Amino acid sequence: MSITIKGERNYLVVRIDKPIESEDLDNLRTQLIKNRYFLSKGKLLIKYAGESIPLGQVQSLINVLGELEDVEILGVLTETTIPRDEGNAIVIKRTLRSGQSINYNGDVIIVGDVNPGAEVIAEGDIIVIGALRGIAHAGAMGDRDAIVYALEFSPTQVRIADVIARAPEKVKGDIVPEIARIEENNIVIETIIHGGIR
Amino acid sequence: MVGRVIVVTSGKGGVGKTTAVANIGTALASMDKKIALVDADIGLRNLDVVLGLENRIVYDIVDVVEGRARLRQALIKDKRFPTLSLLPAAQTREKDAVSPGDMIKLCEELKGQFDFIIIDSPAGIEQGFKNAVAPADMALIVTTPEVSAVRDADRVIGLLESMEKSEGKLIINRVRTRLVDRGDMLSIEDVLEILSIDLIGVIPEDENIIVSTNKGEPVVNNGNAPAGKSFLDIAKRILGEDIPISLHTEKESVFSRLLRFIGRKGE
Repeated sequence: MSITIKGERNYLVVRIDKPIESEDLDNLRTQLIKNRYFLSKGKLLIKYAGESIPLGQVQSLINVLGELEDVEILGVLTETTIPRDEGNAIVIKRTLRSGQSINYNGDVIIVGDVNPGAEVIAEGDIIVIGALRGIAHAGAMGDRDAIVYALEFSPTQVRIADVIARAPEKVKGDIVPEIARIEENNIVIETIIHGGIR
Repeated sequence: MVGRVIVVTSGKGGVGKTTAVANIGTALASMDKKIALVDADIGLRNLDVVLGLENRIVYDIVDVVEGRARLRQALIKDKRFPTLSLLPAAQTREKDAVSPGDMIKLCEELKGQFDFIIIDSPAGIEQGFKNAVAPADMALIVTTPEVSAVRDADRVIGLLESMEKSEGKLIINRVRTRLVDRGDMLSIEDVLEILSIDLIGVIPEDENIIVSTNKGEPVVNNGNAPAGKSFLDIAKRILGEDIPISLHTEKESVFSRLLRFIGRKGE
């Protein structure tokens, strides 16, 4: 089926992955009506997979959903995913201050600090040549092999793919480069003694 | 005469922006510089109160912008310092009564008549902040050694950088040496490590500030107040004097030192 429904915490996500067949819409309608209780949260978010879906189809889906009682459409999002390109990196030569954020579909290298309240989101690795004190999310599109590296590693939070970790309380004074990666569903943080990152 | 426009801002409220504006302005005026203080905190004006000029307001900044009064009519001369003037904010209006363009025009006019125009920015990063920052050549960012204030200062510095306001200098206010020594308060170094901008002054926590604010008399008038001395230093640094940064502290009496000594023994 080209349409899937998934419950999030406060709403349902209706996802269109492929161009919609006409029977899909009918199926969706019967399914939604049948599961009225499930729907009673009533809030829907529509996501569709970019340009491969004709806009008319998205519109007719909105029409179908709009006809149902007690339904509120929160919004419509496109999910255009650019596949991670090996060797696609951006270098940022400044300090990211509170409230500033970088979002990039490759590796991110920051020559400067990432201050508390700033965030870096990368589909690939994150390397901070400076102090990481804010939030870093590597492998943001699900790459569990991504890493986060910083010369001073004291982030508010580190995320890799779908795993989240808070940095341990640090004793001041022991500033050494550290690296975070996923091992068996947990984020582990290791000190770099010498040699490469991997 | 081409005056310089300095904005005093912080992000967080209550860290001492207005106190800094009043005292740096007064200090510069006492050195015979012509100073205009502009209160950009429309709706929550304070600068007039701290300066003790509240009862002399007839026209305010919104009256000037909307053409009901000329700039000359709205400027209040401080009788204690003949070269110090205040352009008060309106109390009954909101921030959107003035636009960044209005502020730039206003400051262009003031620049011809004053050496320094010092703008008191409201807390926050919304319209009022944008108004206050628009005409500035230089920004003084006030913070206290608290994590929340430093965080907001960092945000503001980032915004100023993105507006390409190149010259930003930091004032660290309300430093308590004893707490810092005990490791219970961020030190000056800790703050600088995060904010990484030039420091132009450090102000100690000083009870004289409360007294002077309530009396409407800037603390720089009080030769004994450590905070007053620190603000004087900042004024001199703005004028280009090279004064090493040091934390002025109140001279402790023998008696209070003895008390502290006994107190520590008891711990």
